[in-house]
Amino acid sequence: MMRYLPWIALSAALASVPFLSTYHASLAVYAVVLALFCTSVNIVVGYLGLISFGHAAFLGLGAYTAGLLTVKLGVNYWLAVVLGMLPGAALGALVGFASLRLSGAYFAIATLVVSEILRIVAMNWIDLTRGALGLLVPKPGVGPFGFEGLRFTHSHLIIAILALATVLFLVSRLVASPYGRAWLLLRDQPKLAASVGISGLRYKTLAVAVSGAIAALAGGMLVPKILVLTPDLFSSTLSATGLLGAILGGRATIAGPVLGGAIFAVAPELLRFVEEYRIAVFALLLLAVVRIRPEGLMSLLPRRRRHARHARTQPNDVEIAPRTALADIRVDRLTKSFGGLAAVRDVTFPIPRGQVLGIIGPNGAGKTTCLNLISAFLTPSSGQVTMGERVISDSQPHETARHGIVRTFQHTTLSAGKTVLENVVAATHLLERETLPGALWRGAGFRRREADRLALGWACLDYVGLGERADMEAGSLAYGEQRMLSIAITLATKPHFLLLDEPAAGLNHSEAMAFAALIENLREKGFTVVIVDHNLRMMLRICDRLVVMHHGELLADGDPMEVRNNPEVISAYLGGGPRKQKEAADVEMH
Amino acid sequence: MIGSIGKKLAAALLCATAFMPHAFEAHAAETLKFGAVYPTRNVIGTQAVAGAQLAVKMINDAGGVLGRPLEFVVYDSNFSPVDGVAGMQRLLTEDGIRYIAGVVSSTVALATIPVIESEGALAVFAIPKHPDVTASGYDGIFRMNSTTAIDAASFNGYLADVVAPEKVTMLGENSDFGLLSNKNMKALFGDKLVLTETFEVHQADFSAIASNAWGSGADLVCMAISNPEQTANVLRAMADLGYKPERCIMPGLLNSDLPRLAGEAAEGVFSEDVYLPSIDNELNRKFVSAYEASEGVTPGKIEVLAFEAVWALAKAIEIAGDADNLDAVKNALKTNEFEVLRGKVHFDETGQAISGTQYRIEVRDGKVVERKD
Amino acid sequence: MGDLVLQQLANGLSVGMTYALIALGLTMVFGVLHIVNFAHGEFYMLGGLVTALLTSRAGVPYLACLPAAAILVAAAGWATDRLAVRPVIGRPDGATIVLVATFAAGLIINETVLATLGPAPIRVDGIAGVVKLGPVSLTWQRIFAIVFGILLIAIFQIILRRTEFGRQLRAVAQSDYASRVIGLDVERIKSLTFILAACVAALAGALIAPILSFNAGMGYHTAIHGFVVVVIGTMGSIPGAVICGLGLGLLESVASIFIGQEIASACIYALLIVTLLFRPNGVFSRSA
Repeated sequence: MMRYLPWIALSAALASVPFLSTYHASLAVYAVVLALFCTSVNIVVGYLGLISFGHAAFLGLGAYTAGLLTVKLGVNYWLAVVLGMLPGAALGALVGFASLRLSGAYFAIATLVVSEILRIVAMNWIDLTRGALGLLVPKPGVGPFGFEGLRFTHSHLIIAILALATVLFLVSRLVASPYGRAWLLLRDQPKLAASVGISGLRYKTLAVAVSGAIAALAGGMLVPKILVLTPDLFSSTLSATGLLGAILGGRATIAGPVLGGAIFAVAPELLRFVEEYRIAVFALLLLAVVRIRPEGLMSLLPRRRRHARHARTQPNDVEIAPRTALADIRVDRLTKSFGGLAAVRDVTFPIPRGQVLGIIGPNGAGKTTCLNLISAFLTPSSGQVTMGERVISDSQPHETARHGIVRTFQHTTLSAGKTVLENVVAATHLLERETLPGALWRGAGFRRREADRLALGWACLDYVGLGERADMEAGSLAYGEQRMLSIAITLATKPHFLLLDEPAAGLNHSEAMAFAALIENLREKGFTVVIVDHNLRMMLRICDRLVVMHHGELLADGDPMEVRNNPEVISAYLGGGPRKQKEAADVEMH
Repeated sequence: MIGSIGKKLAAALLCATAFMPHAFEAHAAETLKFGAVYPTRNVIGTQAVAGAQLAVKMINDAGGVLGRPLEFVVYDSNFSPVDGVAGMQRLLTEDGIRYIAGVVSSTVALATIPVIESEGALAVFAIPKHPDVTASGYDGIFRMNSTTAIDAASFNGYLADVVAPEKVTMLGENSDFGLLSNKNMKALFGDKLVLTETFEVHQADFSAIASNAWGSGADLVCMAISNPEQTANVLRAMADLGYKPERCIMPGLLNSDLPRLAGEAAEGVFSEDVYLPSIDNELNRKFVSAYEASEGVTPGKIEVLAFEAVWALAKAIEIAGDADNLDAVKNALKTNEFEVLRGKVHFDETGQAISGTQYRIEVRDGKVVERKD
Repeated sequence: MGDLVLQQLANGLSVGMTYALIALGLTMVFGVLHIVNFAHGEFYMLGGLVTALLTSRAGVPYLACLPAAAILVAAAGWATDRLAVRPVIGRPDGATIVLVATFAAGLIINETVLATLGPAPIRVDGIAGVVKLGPVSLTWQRIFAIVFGILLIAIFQIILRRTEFGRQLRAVAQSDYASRVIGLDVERIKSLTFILAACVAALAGALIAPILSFNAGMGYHTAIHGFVVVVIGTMGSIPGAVICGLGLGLLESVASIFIGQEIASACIYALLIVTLLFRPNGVFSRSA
C-alpha cells in the first residue's frame, strides 16, 4: 500500500487541477516551483550539510537561460527549460568544487556573493537582459497539456507537477543509492568517508551540480507564471525562501522541502494579516524550528521507524576475505614535521603481506602520525610510502582505499544516527562502481549490485559478531561494540591492509580477548593488519612483528620477543612514566 | 525506504492541495471595482493611492458610476515585476476585477500586460513612461502619462536652444526611464555630453557620482531619477561639493517632494511637466483643495495621474453605459475627449493620452512654480 | 583629474571607515566565538534606524542619537545572542546551525523594519557645514565620521590591551578550553563580545546615516562588503579588518571614476571568491 502512496498523491494532485480557479492554480504553480527549489537547496543543506545563502543564483540562471533561448533564439520554451538546467548544473559543479576548499561560513559567504555577482551582471548587461526593465517572455505553448476547458495556468500547473514528481522520484532513487550514502557519510564523517574510498571531489561536485540543475529547473518553471525575467530572480529574498523552506520542512528528507516550499507559497494566503511581515514571520518560525526541532516539521508527522529495516539476505554466502594485494607496503625514510617539530623522523620499515604488525611506543612517539602518513591522510615532509612501484603517500586519502589500504580512527568514528547496517553498507562503496544513470535507472544490474552490497554488509556484521545489532542506531551501541563496528566498516571496503589506530583502547578484558581472537582470525584469512596500540601485553600476543617508535624515530623493529628484550626499548618505556613502567614490568613478568 | 518516502510525500502533497481554498466567491453585484498595483510602501506609491482614492471618493460623492458605488482595490507591486504580476493576477482572477486603473513603473506595466490580455481586461496605466507600454498590440491598454518621446519633443528644444550648455553630465538610474533618457541626451548633445552615470534604483551613496559630475566640469547636469529621495541625495551631494551648475530633471518628475527632501540644495532645479497645481479649471480647483484638506500638502504629478486614470475610466464607462461591455468602454475611451485635471485629454489609437500644454517649472523659494524666461 | 581623485579619496575614507568598523565587529565575533554572524549588517542598519527615527520623528539632536543607538542596538545584540547564538552554539551541529540561526535573526530584524517603515529612504540631518581643504570639499559629517571612527578603533585597542576584560577576551580567543580551566566565565565573555560588536556596528550605522540617508536595505550590502573585508583581511585579525576596510572604501571610491559602482562591487566580490579559493585564510595570514 505504502509503495503506491506517491502515485496516489500524484494522481490526486493532477486530478484536482481542473477544479482550481485560475488564481489558485497560479498559487499552486508557485507552491510547486518553491517545492522544486527547496528540494534543490535540501541536497546541499540537508545531504551535504553545507549552508547556501545564494541558491537563487542557480534559479535565476535557469530562468534567464530558458527565457533568453526562447526570446533570442526562438527555441521551444519547454526545451529551453531543460537546456537551462545545463548552466545550472555547470555552476553547481563549480560551487561544489569550491566547497572542497570552503566549509561552513566561508561556503555560505561564497554562495551569497555568487548570487550577488549574477544579480549585478543581469542588472547591467543591458543589451542582453534589458537590465532592470526586464525581459518579457511570451507565454509558451503547452502542446499536449492544453486540455479543452483549461486555462494556460492549469496546463502550466500540470507540467510543473509532473516536473516535480519526476525530480522527487529521481532524487529519492539517488538518495537511496551509493550516491546518497556517500553524501551523508561525507556530511557526517568526512574522514571516515575518505578512509572508505569516497572521493569528496566527485560526490560533492556531483551533488551541487544536481542541486543546481534542479534549482535551474525551478527557475524555468517559474518564468511562465511571471512572464518576465528581472534581476530579482537572483535576489537574496528568494535564496532565503529556499533555505527557510528546506530547513522548515525537514533537512535530508524527500517530502520535507516539498512541504516547506508549499507552506511558504500558500500560507501567506491563509495568513493575510501578516502580509508584509510574511518573511519575518517565516524567519521567526525558522529560528523556532532550529531551536526546538532542528529536524524540521517532517519529524512531527507520525511515521514508522526512522530507519528502514532490512531483510537479511538468505542464505548469506559472502565470504570475508582480503582482496589480492599486488605488493608489500614499504615505509621509506619517512619524515613529517609540523612547524619545525619533527613528529616522525627518517623512519623506514616494511609492511609485508600476511603479517600482523604492531607499532608501539610511548605517547607522542609518532605512531598515529605514522599511520596518518601511510593512509595518506598526511603528506610526508620527505620520504615516501610505496606499494610495489606505486607511491602511496602522494595519493589522496580516498585513493588509498582503492589500493586496499583502509584505516580506523583513534576516536570512534561512526555515523551515530544511522543504523549499524547502514554504517557498514555505506562503506561498501568500493565494491562495484556505480554511474549516475545506473543509479537513476535502477536496472537489474544495479539491483543485483545493491543486493551484493547488502549481503557484504551483513557478512561483515556477522563476522565481528554484530549481526543481532544490525537495526540499532550505531550511537546506541556499547563502546566495545562501536570499536568492533569500526572494524566491520573497514572490512566492508574489501581491503587487504587494515590499519587500526588504538583499536583496543578502553576495551574491557573480555572485549580485548574477543578482539585478539578477531585479529588472529583476520591473519588466518590472509589480511595484513597494522595496529597502533598502547596495550603492550595484547600486542605481544597478537603481533607477528613489532615496530617501536620513540620521539618520532624508529627505535626497534623485529620479532616481539626480541623487541621485548631490547635494552633501548626497555629504557624508553621505563623512562616513559609510571604507567609505562608498570607495563614494562608486566612484560617482564610474562 | 521508498515506502516511507511515499508516505511523507503523499502527506505533503495532500497538505498542499488541502490548503487550496474554494473557487471564486460571489461579490456584491452593486459595487464596481477598479484595481491597481502600486508600490504602496514607497512615497510614490502612497501618493498614487491617495490620488486614486480621492477620485473614487469624488465619483462616489457624485453618485458613483452608472449608479453603482466604485471600489478601489490595490496591491503592493514593490517595484518588482514578479510582485506586480502576482498582484495583477490576484486582481483579475481572484477578485474578478475587469478594470485596472494604475501602475507606476514601466517594468511592472510591461510584465502585467500579458496577464491583462489573457484575462481580456482593460487597463488605464497611470505613470509608466516607456513607449513600449502602448505598443503591445493589445487594444485594452491605455496610458495617462506622457512618454519620454513626447516629453523630449518639447524639452529637448528648450535645453539645446535656451539653456545651451557647453558640457553636459547625465545621471540616469538603471531603469527603462533612466536608460531611455541617457540615450535621448546622447542623441541631443553628442560630444557635449561629457559624462553619463548609471546607478541602481536602490543606491544611497551619491558622493562618488556627484564628485564625478563635478570633475567633469559640466555646466548642465540632467537627472533621470524616479525616486525623489534619490534626486534629493544627488542634489545634496553636489551642494556639499559646492558644485552648482544648471540642474534639470527629466520632464514629469519635479514636484513639491523635492524641495521638501533636498531643502536648499533643490533651489533653481528646473523641469517640464504636463501639469501644474495652479492650472485653472473647475475640476482641478476642487481636486487641489480636497487633496490639501485631506493630506495637508499640495498634490503632485503622481497623485494627478493616478486620479486621472480612475477618473477617465469611470467617465468612459458612463459614456459606454454598460460596465460589463468592455468593448464599448474601450471604444468610448478611444473616441471621446475627457475633462481631467490638466484640462482636456484624448487617447490616440495606441491608447496614449494626448494633452496640449507642457509647463516649464522650477524650484523657487522651496516651491515648485512656473519658470518664466 | 588629480583633483577628482583627491576628492574621491576623501569620500572613500569615510565610507571605508564604516567598512572597517563593520569588519571589526565581524572579525572580533569570529575570533572569540568562532562564528560568522550573518545578522551583523542588521545591527549597522538598526544603528542608522535609531538615528533616523530620533532625528526625523522626535527631533533629537544628532549627537545625542549616537549613545542612544549604541545602547538600543546593544539590547538587540543581547537578544540576538540569547535567542539565536548561545542556545545553538554548543550543539553537535552548532557550527552549521548557528549560521542559519543568525541569518534568520537578521531576516527577522530586516523584514520587520522593511515591513513597518517601507523601503523608502529616510533623510538624516547630521552635522551641517562643508570644509574646503584645497581642491577637496568635505562635509563636517564626513570628517566627524572619520575622526569618531579612529577614536572608536583606538578605544577598542585600549579595551583589548589595557583592561581586564580585554585580557579575558584575548584569553578566550586563544583557547576556549584553557580559559574555562583557569575559571573565566567564558559564556559571559562571549556574550559581551557579541554585544560590543553590535554596538560598534550600530555606531557605524549612526555615523553613515546622515551621509547616505537611512534605508532598510543598507545592512545587507554593507554586510557583504564586511565579509569581503574580513575574508581578505584574515578572519579574526583586527589590523586586517581596519586596513582592508579603509582600503576597500578608497578603492571603491576611486574606481567609480572609471567604472560604475555596481560593476566595481561585482569585481570586488569576484576578488573575494578568488581569495577564498586560493588563500582561504586571507591575505594577511602567514600560510595559504
